[in-house]
Amino acid sequence: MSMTGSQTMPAGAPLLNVEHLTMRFGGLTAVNDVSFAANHREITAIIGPNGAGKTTVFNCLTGFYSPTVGQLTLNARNSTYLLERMEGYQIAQKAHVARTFQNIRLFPQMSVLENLLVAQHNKLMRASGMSFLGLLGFPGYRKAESAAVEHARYWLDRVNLTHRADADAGNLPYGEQRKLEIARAMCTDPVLLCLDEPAAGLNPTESLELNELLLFIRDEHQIGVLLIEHDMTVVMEISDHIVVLDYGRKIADGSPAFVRNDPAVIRAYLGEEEGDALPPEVVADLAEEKKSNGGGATDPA
Amino acid sequence: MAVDTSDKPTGIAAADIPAMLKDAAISALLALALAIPLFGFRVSSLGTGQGFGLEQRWDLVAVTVAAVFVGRLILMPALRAVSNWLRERRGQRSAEATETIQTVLRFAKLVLLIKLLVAAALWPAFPWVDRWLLDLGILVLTYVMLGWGLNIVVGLAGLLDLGYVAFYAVGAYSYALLAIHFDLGFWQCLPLAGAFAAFFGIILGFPVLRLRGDYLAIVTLGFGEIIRVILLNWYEVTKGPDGISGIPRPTFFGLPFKRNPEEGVTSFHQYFDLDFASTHRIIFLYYVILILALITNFFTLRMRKLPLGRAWEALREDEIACRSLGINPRNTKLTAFAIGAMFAGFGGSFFATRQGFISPESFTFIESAIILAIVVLGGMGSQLGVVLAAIFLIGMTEFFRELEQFRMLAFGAGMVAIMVWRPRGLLAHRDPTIRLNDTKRGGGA
Repeated sequence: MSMTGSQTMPAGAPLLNVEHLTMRFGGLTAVNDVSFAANHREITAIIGPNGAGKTTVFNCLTGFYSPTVGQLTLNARNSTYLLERMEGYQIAQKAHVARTFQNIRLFPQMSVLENLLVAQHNKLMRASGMSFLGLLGFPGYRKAESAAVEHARYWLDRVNLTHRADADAGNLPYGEQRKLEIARAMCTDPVLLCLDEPAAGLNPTESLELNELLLFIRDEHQIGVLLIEHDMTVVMEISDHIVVLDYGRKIADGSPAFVRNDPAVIRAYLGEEEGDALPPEVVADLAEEKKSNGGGATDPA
Repeated sequence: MAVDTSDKPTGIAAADIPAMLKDAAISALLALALAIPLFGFRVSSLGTGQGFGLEQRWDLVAVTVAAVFVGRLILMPALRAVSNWLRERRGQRSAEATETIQTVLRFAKLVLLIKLLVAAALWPAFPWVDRWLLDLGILVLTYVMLGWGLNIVVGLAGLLDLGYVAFYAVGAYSYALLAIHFDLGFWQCLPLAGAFAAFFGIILGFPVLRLRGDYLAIVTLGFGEIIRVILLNWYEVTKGPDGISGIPRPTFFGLPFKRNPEEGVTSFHQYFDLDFASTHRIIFLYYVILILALITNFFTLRMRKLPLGRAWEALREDEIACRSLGINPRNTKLTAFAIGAMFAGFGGSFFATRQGFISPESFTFIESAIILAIVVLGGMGSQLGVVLAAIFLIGMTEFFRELEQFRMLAFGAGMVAIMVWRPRGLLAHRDPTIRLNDTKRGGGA
């Protein structure tokens, strides 16, 4: 198993190994031969300009797409899962990969607490004897339910939403909905938390709170966090490891300091200096060429 | 309120008067347009053998238009006063006031619930309840039960099912055929009929539940028709359009409701030493459907507090989020579909035993539509709403029988009125199934 990018990484066991991930939609190659690793107890950020294929990587990881080529290996809790072979809901159920969405997906007409209980569905389902014992009022289920409520309360306290627990999730302000979605994902008791632009639409104070929350999740719960983000203050502040994508290819992979000074990344984000004078088509072609060169250079896989 | 309406017109500025006149004139014009075709003309007989003439009734039209004009003119200030008053009230509401109103509403709902339950339990005992009202009660309760069953599928799981009556038919035919060919009693057949209906629910659900919204609705509509057409054409088993007659009536723990039972069989009235009355059986049927309906309701209320019930509601809200949380969407939908079908099966076997005769005529699309209308008008997912809507829709059509051909017009007008007045159904408010900050109410209500 290749340990992509491990030379720039601080010590940490590999949690997720993405190898040669390619996703094609008809003639469009959204993700092209991307390999990287995300480690236990680390925050790995995936960044890149719009349309770089970041969300596609996420959708492959969480089973919403099945990748055209590639292997996604998750090593956690003494088992190994090949995510590309699992159905979407099983990835969350068995491999314990939780995710949030770019456009928030809560259950808007259910209360905040109910949202968090739905996240503990599989655990509660077992406790209720697939509903039969629960229907008959067996005490085992009641105990499991109050444990689940306590678990939910713990996360509500973490995101400061305890006082809104009985409100409809759809009535929360935007920033609180984002936090609730993270809390809901954490209630599934994941080993890997995938966050798709969690800071989008947050004000600076809320972004700061988000940073603290993510660091708390990493340090106290000791799980891996995978993060797609445009907000560089969040990314540079908290990431242990950054993967940069552009036009579906990986162009850089390393620590924040390394990535910040990488010429390929600067080109992808800011363009060439002389590029301004050229017509846009030429600029795009040039960038493409530079990128494939740059990607080849920094991608050992 | 009377004070408001009387003193507000004096307070209206002169500038408002042209606007009010204009508004009233528009209403009058609308009334004119409606009145001319509706009752401007009347076909009248010119006497025997002399054919018909067209009577013009302009006087009636003029009176109507004038009444609308004046009525609108008077009503407008009153309406405005009421809406102003309401707006002021709303403005005054603080967070606590909202809380109080919520509590009052919850209390009012509870009182209504208890009243309905007591009324339902004592219905046959009321002195004014005759045979017709008793039958009406049975009919309403059948629809309440079916509404509650469909509420699981449509209201909770959010799967638009236009073929619900198919499962009702499966239940009815299961009971009829089992009872006739295998000589089983109503109580033995009831669970079997439910199981058959649930089985059909799974058969239908398995291939189609990946569809969503409109597409699912069309497939279920087709399934409902398929079942009806099979019942119509599979003559050897279902007797086709002739229907199945002579379906056994239910017995009271083995005691039949017969005036002259066969040798060696004690009938209900003999056992309890009563005079024979045909209403005994009807009253018994009434309580059977009441209990069946209450079981359905109890089951749904319990289910909503269990993880499966919450998963149904979560699926209704967002299927993709459910998948990301590790919920198996297909199995979860299938359980909703099968359980909804099971209750339709129970309802169907009750229908068969009550009628004593079933034919495919009873299971047309309009039945599915009425049951769905009950669920939607009641407010999706609301148990009490289903009861109110069933009383309103079924009760109203029965009460308006005297209107003859205008009955369905009244039915439609009633539906439109509810949708205008309460666009999200009679009782659209959803209470959370569990509360964190209110431990007193924790598991109850």
